[in-house]
Amino acid sequence: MGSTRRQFLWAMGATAASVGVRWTSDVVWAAQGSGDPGWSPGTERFVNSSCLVCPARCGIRGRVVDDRLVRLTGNPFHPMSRGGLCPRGVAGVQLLYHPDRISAPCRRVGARGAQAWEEITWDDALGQLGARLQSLRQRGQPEALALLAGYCAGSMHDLWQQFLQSYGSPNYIADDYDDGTAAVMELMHGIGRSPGYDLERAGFVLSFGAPLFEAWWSPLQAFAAFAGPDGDNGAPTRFVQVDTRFSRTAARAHDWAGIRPGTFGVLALGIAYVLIRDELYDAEFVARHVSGFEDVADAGGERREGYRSLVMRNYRTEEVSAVTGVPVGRITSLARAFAEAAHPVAVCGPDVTHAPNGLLAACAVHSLNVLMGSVSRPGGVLFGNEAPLAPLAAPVVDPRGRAGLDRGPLAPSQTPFGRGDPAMRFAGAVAAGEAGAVDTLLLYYANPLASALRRQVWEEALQRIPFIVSFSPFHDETTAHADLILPDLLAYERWQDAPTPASYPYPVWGVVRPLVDPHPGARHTGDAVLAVARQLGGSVARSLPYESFETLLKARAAGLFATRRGMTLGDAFELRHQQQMEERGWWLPEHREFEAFWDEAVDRGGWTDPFIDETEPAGLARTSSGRIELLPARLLEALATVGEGRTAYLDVAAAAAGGSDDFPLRLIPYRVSTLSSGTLPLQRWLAETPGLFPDVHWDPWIEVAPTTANTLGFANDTMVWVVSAHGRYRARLKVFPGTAPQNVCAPYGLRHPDGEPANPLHLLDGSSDPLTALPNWFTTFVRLERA
Amino acid sequence: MAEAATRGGHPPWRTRGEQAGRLSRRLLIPVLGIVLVVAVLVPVIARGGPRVPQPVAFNHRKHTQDLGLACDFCHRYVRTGAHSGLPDASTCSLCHSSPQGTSAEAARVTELLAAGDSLHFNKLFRMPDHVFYTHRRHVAIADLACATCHGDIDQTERPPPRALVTIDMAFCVSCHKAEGATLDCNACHR
Amino acid sequence: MTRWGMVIDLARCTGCAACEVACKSENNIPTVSPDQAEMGRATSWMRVMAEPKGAFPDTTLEFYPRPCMHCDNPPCIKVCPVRATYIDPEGIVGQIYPRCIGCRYCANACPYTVKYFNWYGPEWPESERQYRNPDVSVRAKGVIEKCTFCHHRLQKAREDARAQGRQLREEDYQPACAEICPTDAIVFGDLDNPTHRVAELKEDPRVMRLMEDLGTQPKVYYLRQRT
Repeated sequence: MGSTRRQFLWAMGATAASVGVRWTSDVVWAAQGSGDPGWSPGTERFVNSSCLVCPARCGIRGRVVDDRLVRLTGNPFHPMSRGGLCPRGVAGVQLLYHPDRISAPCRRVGARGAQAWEEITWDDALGQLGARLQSLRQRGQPEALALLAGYCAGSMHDLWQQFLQSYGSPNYIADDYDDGTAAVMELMHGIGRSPGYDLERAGFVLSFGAPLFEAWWSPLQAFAAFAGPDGDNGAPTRFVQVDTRFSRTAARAHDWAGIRPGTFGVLALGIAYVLIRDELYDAEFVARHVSGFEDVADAGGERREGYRSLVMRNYRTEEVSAVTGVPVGRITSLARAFAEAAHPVAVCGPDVTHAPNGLLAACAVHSLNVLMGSVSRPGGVLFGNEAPLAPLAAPVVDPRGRAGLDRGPLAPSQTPFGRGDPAMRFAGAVAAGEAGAVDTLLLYYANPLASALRRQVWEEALQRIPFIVSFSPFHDETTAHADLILPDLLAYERWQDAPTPASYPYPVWGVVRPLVDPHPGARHTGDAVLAVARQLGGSVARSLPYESFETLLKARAAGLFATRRGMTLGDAFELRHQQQMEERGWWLPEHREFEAFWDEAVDRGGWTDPFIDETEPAGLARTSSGRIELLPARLLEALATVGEGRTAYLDVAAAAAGGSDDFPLRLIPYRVSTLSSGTLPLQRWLAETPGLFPDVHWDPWIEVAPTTANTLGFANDTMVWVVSAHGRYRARLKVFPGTAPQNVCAPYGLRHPDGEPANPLHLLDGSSDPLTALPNWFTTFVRLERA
Repeated sequence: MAEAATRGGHPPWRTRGEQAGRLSRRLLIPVLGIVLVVAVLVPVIARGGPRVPQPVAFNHRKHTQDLGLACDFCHRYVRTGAHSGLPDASTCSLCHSSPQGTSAEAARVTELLAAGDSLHFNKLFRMPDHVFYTHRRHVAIADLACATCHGDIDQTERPPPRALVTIDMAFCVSCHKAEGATLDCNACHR
Repeated sequence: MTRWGMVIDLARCTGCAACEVACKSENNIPTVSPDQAEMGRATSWMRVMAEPKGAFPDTTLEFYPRPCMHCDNPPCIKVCPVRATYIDPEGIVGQIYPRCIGCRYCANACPYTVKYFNWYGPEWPESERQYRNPDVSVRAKGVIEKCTFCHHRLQKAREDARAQGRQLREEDYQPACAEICPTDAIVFGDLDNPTHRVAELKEDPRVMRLMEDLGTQPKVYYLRQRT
């Protein structure tokens, strides 16, 4: 009896277990099931477009299955990205289908920032915005409309400019990323744009803190050069990184040198010293194209020192070594390698310019290119032309608009060079000025409460602005304070254009086109602006006579067709063919009709012109002397007034005061390639492993040298407070041997999983370069406390 | 974005709370007994799964035998796709937008089409997620007859409530063996 | 005889992790919550490992993209009690999910730690289901999963080739990681076919394999950095 009862129980248990397994499993084991109604034909298309996740704007190819975007890869026709794509680009599908997308226009119903919304129709939403703008203009205050333009690519930028101009507002506030190099080129070459680097044909790339393989203008451009078959001289491009931390770029470069923060310019001039001392520089180029190298006697007969004398007197390798921490032998060998390479080029990164002497240091770095003649030469710095798009319709400004424009921007730049930080300046002016100076603020891919250096100033400024409109497709910190949300479409659902960044010297006009049907509740901001313009009527409507953003783009593309140069994107062979044809002065029209040209450009992902005429003198310098200025007169004048005692351009001594007892460690904030800086939500694939450390997931982290961690008594993975005199945040401490013992390296762009902010930029001391007003990133000191 | 992080998180059921109280010994045997009965009966009763309803009583025999329409007239993707495809209103309305024949069901189709009904037909088979199966492979490349897997579906006059042939892995494997096709797991599992 | 394998050039790898994300996108890899990830339960069939050495400023760092090694002598299949993991005739180590009983012996036997266990059922926010790849199954709770060399692409490529009445070509079948790599550091193909680039690269003097002394005979080769 006992044994049968046991057997019975066993049998029952086994059966129950098997049934349990069958029921809890998500899998149906046989093909014959419960008549699943869902099926789709699974037809697949591959569509070329451009990525708008970061300013690199690489070519992408979407795999679309039954109108679902399933996967993103690179567009092999794109000349810059060549079929590659970075992890952020691949993770774009997680933006498109992000659960936090705003599903309809929203009107605020609760208190500001309380995030209580009421969904309204698009007609209603645009009607409210149009009525507000109409009455503002009728009251004669068009300048009280301001636009905070964050990431604003291609024709969207031109559309906004035209809209504001015809409306009568001078307050287009750029809130995008500026690395400060355009000011350098303006001074030295008379060409006010960021330099293009011909990395692929370069033989030797000496990067001064430029995060080439991480978060540079276009990592894909650097990847193509790094992995490309060969440089112009038949050998692979050699990369050498000079950096304040052992970055991913430093790790993968062929060689690297660690340097003290804020001393990039000194090292550059130390290298210049060796180039001049050993007569390694391109004397012929300098003699023909450069001014300011030799000493000159001015009109009064007074002798003024030139670049050569200044460098030879002040930047002997021993002194440079003492300031920068780079050994003398290293400086010499770097200089020799640079000079002996077939096509050397020095790349100036944002870490150079975001320092107290940033502009001077960047001039010093670029002077290496000038010394070697690496300007307007294969493998050097090239100033490519913009894509020759047809301009927008002629803007019409009526007297009311003219009056608004004449009142000038609310917060004009106060510094002699560059544009500084216009968004922070604007917020300061609004917070300090009278109420009502700004009536309506439009936010376009801008989230200053997360990304601005001083969040409190922005909080005050927002309180003083009666009406805030956000075009963000996602809820974010600043959108939470909006009165009206008009959610934009994502780049995978809309028409736009995507010119490559200036770092890529050849003009590329990428087309962004819808890969899938647009989200039903969202609308292209370009179309929304055009609709508001129509509603406003008068000069605004006449300035923007476009039915939709798509027609606007097509109208602009007519300019490309008309120049009879360049080509729709094509493979490497087609590119080379076109280049050689243009070099010989031939252009064989492939398209008789504009429509055919347009269709092919859209199909292949855009247009490019792979040829730059390097013999063109205007590509070298457009200064009044026609020469490259090593000692620009304007710079010398400015130094005399705001130079704070600095008398000579080359006085780029280290700003590096050490830390204090309270705050012993220097904060080095840096950008991680997988993270966005505020206007886009985190994608889960990226947040799961945002950086180098396989065991860091989601949490913000900081990097500390093993010796420092030991001294402080912190084990790896301790949660710590990073404390400066201006704020603090919580992060996980990672011990990393690539960090200098006196530094704390802090990536930005992360938040804690529960939303707690963790932005190292909020800890900065707020000082800036007096010449450009670019904030200093590396002058803040912190201490670490156990959290 | 705060929400982004938490929404990526796990639903409450994942956090293992307290274990359910242990069943008392007295309850154990009756409960197991009931489970056993259910375990035995459920597969018997539900053999072949629940009945699959269709929007109209489609007559395969009429269409394929009498009218001589090919299978891929309605099952459009049978030679090119993974799924063979099912007809929708646009397919039916090629003929049925005007009255056809004398049957009441045909008249109803015309009525439904006129009313703008989408005529959503339901699948009889459900392919498990982990199987890589395509009709193209079996129909276009291996040139198998539809009846190999679908039986005499073309002879039916009313839609069968369940598939005429039970397809499980043994069914696939027996044919693969007989035809000398691959028996490698990776060829069909994914 | 076909033997699929991979050569990864460490001198070209920049550690950008595009392969990692492309793999997650291609293979419907589930993401887990932050606290689960903290417990080491994040799944990543392809993983870029980084190994820093030295002290600032004399630091070096090597990146090792680490997929399943698809060993010719895989330790994982020896311990599987139900033959859910096995090596197919073309050298791909397969994982047959409906067979797997979730005992995790293979995960423990694998010296490369490439086998991941599904502690929970697959979770996607409703909207994110849209981007799931229809060619790849979504794994159930309680089974082991791992890199398959994207063998669903082989299934499709082979079928495409047969439908077009031609042979399978090298570029027909490329896993997602090799396809996306912006520096072409990952090369994939038939190790036994001298016309494929992998066959040539695996004879490079810089070649090595991970933990070769264990006798696992991985089919993923690495080319050491040039010094």
